[in-house]
Amino acid sequence: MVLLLLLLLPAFSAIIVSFLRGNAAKGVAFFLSFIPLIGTLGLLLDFNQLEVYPTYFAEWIPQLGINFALKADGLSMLMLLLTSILTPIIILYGFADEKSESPHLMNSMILFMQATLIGVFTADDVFLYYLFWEAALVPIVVIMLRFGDQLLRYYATLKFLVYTVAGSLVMLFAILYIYFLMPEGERTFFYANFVDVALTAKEQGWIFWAFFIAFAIKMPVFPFHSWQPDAYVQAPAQGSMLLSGIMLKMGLYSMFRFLLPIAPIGTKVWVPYVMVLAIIGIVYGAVVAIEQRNIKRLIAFSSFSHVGLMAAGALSFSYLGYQGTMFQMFSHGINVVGLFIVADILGRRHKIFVIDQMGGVRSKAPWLATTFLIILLGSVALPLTNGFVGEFLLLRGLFDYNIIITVFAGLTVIFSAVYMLRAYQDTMLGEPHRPNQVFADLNLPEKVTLVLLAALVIIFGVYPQPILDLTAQSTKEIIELMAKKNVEIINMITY
Amino acid sequence: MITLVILAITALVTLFLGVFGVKKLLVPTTIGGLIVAFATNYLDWGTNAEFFNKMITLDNYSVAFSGLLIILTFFVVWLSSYHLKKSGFFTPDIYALYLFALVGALVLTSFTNLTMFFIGLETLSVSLYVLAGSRKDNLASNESSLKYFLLGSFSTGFLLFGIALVYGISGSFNLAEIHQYVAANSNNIPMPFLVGLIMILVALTFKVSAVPFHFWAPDVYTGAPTHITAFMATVAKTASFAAFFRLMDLAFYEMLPDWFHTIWILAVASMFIGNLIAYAQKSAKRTLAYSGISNAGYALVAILYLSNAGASTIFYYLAAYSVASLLAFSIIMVIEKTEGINEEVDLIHGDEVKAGSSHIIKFRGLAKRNLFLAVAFILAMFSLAGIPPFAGFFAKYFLLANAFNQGYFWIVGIVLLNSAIGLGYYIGLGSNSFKYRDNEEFTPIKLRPTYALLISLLLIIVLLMGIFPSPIISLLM
Repeated sequence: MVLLLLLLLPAFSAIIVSFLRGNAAKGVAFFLSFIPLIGTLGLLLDFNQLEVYPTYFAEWIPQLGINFALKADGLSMLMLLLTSILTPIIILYGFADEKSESPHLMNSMILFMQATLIGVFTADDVFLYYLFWEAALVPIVVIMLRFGDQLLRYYATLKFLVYTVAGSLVMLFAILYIYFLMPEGERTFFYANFVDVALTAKEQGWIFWAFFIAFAIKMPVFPFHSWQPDAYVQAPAQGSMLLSGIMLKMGLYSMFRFLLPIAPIGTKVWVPYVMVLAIIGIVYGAVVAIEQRNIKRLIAFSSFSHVGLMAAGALSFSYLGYQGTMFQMFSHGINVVGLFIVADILGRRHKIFVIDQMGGVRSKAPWLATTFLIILLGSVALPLTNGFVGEFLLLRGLFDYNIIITVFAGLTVIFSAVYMLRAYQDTMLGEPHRPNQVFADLNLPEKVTLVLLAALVIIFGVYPQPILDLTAQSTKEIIELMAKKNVEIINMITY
Repeated sequence: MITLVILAITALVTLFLGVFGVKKLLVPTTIGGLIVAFATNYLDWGTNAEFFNKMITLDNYSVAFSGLLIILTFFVVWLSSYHLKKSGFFTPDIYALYLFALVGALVLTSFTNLTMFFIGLETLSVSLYVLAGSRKDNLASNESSLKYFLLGSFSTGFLLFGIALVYGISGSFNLAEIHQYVAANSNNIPMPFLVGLIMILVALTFKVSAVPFHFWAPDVYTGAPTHITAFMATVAKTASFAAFFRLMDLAFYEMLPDWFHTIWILAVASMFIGNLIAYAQKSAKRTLAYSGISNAGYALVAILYLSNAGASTIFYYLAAYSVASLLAFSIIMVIEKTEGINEEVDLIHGDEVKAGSSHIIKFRGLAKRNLFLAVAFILAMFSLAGIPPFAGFFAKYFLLANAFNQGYFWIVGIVLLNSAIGLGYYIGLGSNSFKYRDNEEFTPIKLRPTYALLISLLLIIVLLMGIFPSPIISLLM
């Protein structure tokens, strides 16, 4: 029941906010977005002591075996936590720009987005999951079209949309295929039954790709990434945050939830090839990021590079690798949103996003410089920041899988230090590009969001255990589901 | 049966109201007639009553479709009432013609005899010919009417010839008796019978505007006044598909292997041609015409798996398609009325933009002129493209799931491919409203509250059908 409320509240909030105007829309949206956060924290309080996971069940379209079933295990809770922490922050950041147009549409769409994302992360019915997965596109497309950069937003939006929907349609074919393998009369999209359907090795082979392509486009993994830099750059700041902070995690989450349990043998067969793709993405993204002069594009490619590492971790057949990926999903969400906020502040004050046109900000805006540095260090995975915990576990897991791949994957840490510190140097240090440029330090909403994010970076870097505890049980369950399909898998998993 | 009588009488009454100049009562009378008709239609549910020596049977299939058609007509009449009042070109007989067309459409959903089928189709078509030309001062409207009439007459000829051949071989106009004949001779159906069937298919394909008999649709849709286009794209198309499905299901079911390949080739061709040519269009109405052609292709897939699953699928599909199209047309009508295309834009695109056209340039900056319209329009496009949580998603899903169940994997693949292709032009059309430069000035559009209510109502229906599809899908299961 709590889950249903968590899902419906943002949806109703979206409707309410769409009728308000001006700052009232922002304020009410901010206030309403807190309720899911409180609900999520309430659920988390004694989550690890619970006997059964929180669920909700209602019949929806019984003729077609579709139910409105929700369930939250540890992984879902982690994603719920990420969504409900980031949504208020993203809405709060909207206060920073006082001249923003149509705030009611923006905030209503953000809340609508939150509802669909919560749906994706808690759906216990494959059809319901697919529905939310697709529905999440509607708000982000409206946000990108209405608020995006004026020159190329149509192009970027259409490219993004066609890419992702094409991927989802392939996944839909696989979902239907598995559904119709069930004997007539017993067909259901219920997750537990759906994962249980016996598939031959050959079927698992193509089903792996059908699912993987959909997820790989969403994340994105090389070579399905060409929509991503355009979309991140052309989208408005809040849109980029939604895309990179939360939507990207849908792909990784789905890999754990569907790809591994449904097609473990297919995964086993194809992982060597996919690993290579992921590694290419890591190195390629990092190298391109070093060359970028547009700060939003730099963040986009850095995100692309980091996601390659997470995708590799999700396929590493290692308990630590899985745990590291889940942790990294959480911390990447926080870091990348922080980076996009910094980029937007810099871009808005300079009226241009090119790094070469910036510089010398530190002396004028110490708050910005300090918070940027902390978030940046989280992103380059310095010890005692949240990025370190995730990437260390990830690399440790990959080490068990293959040493050569680990060596290449480890390059992310080095490369990201190169491009991130260079970006810091060019924007914050040195002399201002235009000597008498005025640069105001953070205003209140900016300060609150950045300080909060910086605090989260350090808190989860120093004390990551609650997150790891949260996902431990569900990681084991995913491995059990894989082993249920094929017993040999259990021997492959390293702990 | 009483439904048909009520509608016909209401039509005559509105005709006379026009003659005696009591124009204020026109819309209330029409709406009242529709509401009473809907109620009597509802009472027919489950009766399976037969009329005129089994020429008409009111089974659940026909009652469900009749209800849908009456609701759609209701919305079209509501839409038209604004358009006609404002245009200064007021022809009271339009409402009567709507109702006559609706009578024909209702017959098309309930016939059990080929003569009744013919009468229904002609009642619908003749009314549409007149409606398409109802802007007598407009050249495009006249052209549209003439084109539709000439091509429609040919298809009528084919239909009559086909019916004659089928009658000549089977010895009956009655669908049940034709079915018996086909079942008894399914191994050696004589050639003239097959030729007759093909000719009937030609006429039906023409009416639903599927490839290769689709050429009239873009021209007629563009030329006709937009409220008439909305009527053709929703009521006429739904009725034609209802008749198509009914005929194949009741009379020619046993011959499925004979016409299976014909239909699926037509379906696939319609999807590809409709979706691909839509990309080249510059007018929103023409784009929607091609969208109608591709949607005819999707709906034809449902005819491949007749029976109850097919009936409920095609019913849901047409309902979802019609409501989303109505929503789109209702917004296009607002756009057509507004001026405010600055000269610079005209020069950039090099196209002549006439007042009253639905050229995509007229959508420019709609988000700044009226955000509600822009968002509603793109949501309608999302529904047509089949993105949840809107009605169009379930329409496509039911279609695919049933095709998958029958083992038509290749058709599922083609439909999925076409959904991806179609997405580009639907969202491309919808995103035109968001095209403007930041410093560009636009004149805002003010909507009448009742018109905003109409658009909101359609939007809510599209959304609710997408969230609670169960009641509608179970209607005919």
